[in-house]
Amino acid sequence: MTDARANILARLQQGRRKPIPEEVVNAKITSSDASIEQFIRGLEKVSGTYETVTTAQQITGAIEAYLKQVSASNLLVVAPAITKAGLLVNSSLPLQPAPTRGNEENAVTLAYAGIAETGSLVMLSSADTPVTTNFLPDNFICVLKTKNIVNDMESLWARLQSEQGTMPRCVNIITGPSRTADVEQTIQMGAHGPRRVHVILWNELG
Amino acid sequence: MKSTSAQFNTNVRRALHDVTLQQALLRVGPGFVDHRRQALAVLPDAENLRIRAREIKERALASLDHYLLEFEKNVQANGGQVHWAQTAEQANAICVELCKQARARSVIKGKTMVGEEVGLNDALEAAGLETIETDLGEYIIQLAKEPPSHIIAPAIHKTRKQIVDLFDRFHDRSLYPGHLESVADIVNEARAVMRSKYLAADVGITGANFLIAETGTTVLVTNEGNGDLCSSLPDTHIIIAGIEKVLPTLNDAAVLLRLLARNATGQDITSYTSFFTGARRADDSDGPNNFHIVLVDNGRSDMLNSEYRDMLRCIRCGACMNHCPVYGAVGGHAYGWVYPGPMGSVLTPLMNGLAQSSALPNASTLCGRCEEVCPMSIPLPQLLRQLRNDGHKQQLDSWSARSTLALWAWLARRPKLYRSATSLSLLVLRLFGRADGRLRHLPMISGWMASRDLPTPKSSFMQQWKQHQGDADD
Repeated sequence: MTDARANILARLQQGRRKPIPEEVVNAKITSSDASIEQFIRGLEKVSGTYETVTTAQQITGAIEAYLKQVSASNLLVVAPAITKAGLLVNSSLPLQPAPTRGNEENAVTLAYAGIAETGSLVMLSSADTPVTTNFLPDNFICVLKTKNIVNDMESLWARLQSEQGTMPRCVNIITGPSRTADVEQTIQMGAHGPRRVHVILWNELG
Repeated sequence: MKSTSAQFNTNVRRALHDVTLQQALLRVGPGFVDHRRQALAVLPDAENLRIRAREIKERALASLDHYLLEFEKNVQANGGQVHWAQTAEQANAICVELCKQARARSVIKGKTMVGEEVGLNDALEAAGLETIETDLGEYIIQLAKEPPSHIIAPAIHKTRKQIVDLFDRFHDRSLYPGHLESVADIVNEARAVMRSKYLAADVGITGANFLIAETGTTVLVTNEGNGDLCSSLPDTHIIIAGIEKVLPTLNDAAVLLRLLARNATGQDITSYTSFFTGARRADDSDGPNNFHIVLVDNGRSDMLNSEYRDMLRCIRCGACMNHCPVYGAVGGHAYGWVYPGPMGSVLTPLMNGLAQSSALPNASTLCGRCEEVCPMSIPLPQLLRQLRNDGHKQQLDSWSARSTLALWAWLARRPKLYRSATSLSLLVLRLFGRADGRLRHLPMISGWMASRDLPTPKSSFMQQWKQHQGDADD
């Protein structure tokens, strides 16, 4: 299909116009700040829930209490990033390392960042944070360090560029539970992905 | 998919008399229109954002070949492959060949309008591949063997009862008990049926909302999360996308994403916005080993070199159809192909040929709402008028329309005769009018007059104008 490529490119070359410089379009338009409050407002707007903790020890209790609250089973799939951060070490829950096999009810993982403008979680694919953990469980529990909340998507790209240099295979920006309105325009949670999104906001500074 | 746009008038008559469809259409307006208005009302600097969005897309289109080459280079650098297709047939052949290379038996698909455009499902099935749509709306119409009737809500024309009937017919009742009543029942059963398909599939095929040149990234938005399962579970991920989807930078996508969901469903952002860059990395524990992108032209490079270039700014939000009085009355299927509403009435003739779809540009009152709500400021009424003009030049309009227009043009160039003719028509209209000064019936437009009366005109425009000038002089 090299002909197709050459043909398409030749036609597109004919359609060229005077290049528009980046400066013309690069002014940023957003009025949000990187506050925890703004993040929570966005999260709650899309039926996400959260709990604020200040120590690693509190995270175990918070997750155990949450699973009880939503009447979930005990088994918890755990992303390696959680274990490596020394979290859930004192938990009495049966833990299963990620990636999931596909039908487990609960999973917990670590977010790379939060976006205050929309209350979104930012998940990077990696060996420590497998992508399928974000999508297969019914109850998606995510630990987010509050210092990692950024203003908006533009700030996220800047941070990713300076910290990682390249894009991982996958960046998932997750804003609330999976939903569909395909049946009579009625919103129903848990279409294919998680029915619930619970964020553990970890404010290490207390 | 075979187009029935040539039978537009027949399609419309059927749609207007379809009671179930009319019930379903009643829900379209209030939902989408109200949610969009509320979302944009609280967005700071919304008008500026719209201007910026247009500039971003214009910048991409001004050097489209340059950005596509940059995109290709960066995809390859991340272990992916880029394929180019000039036509629908080429796009399908590439996808089928990639599935063969993967020794695939089953394919799971996320919603892709380009996939609908090229008729990808038929091609995959003809090659013996089990093909399952995973977006709930797309799944429903796949079972019903129908095209989408809306670009973001493909099964919007289906009622709950119709969906339950489809599930009863197609789902194995020895595995799934059925007795579906609520929306939750329906969604939960679809979820269960689909989960097993996801885990067994060999290839996932999705579309893309944007392609990012600077990083070789493709962007996909969904609310269900189905696109993410299609892209992370199978060993091969194929992305099919139109060549106009490329944007220079990730920051450009950030701006357009602020507009996309708000204009589509009234959400600030969809539940899932995902950025895919190449194949699984060496130390990843999940994700596809094979990452392919199929870039589809199918008439787009012609558009770039024509007076319809503005149409390439479209980001497929669906706001134009949600606000269109014609779409609201007849639904999406009447348009006869995969793109309905005002954007479809422009795209369908450009992709399938005006001769097969000459009625579509006339399926508009030119009220201008579509252009008003379009986040990319596409002058849809102007493009529709231009297509009407093209159709007239190619003599595609009916004999009666042509002769009426010719007569009017002849009269309009003869002012005295024109005025006598209007005075004469006044007399005729008074014959049809009632004593109360209202017109109830008129020949030739009985359908239009069935639901409205007109006041009987007392004098012609020129007579009123003279009188008005006289009053003003007093």
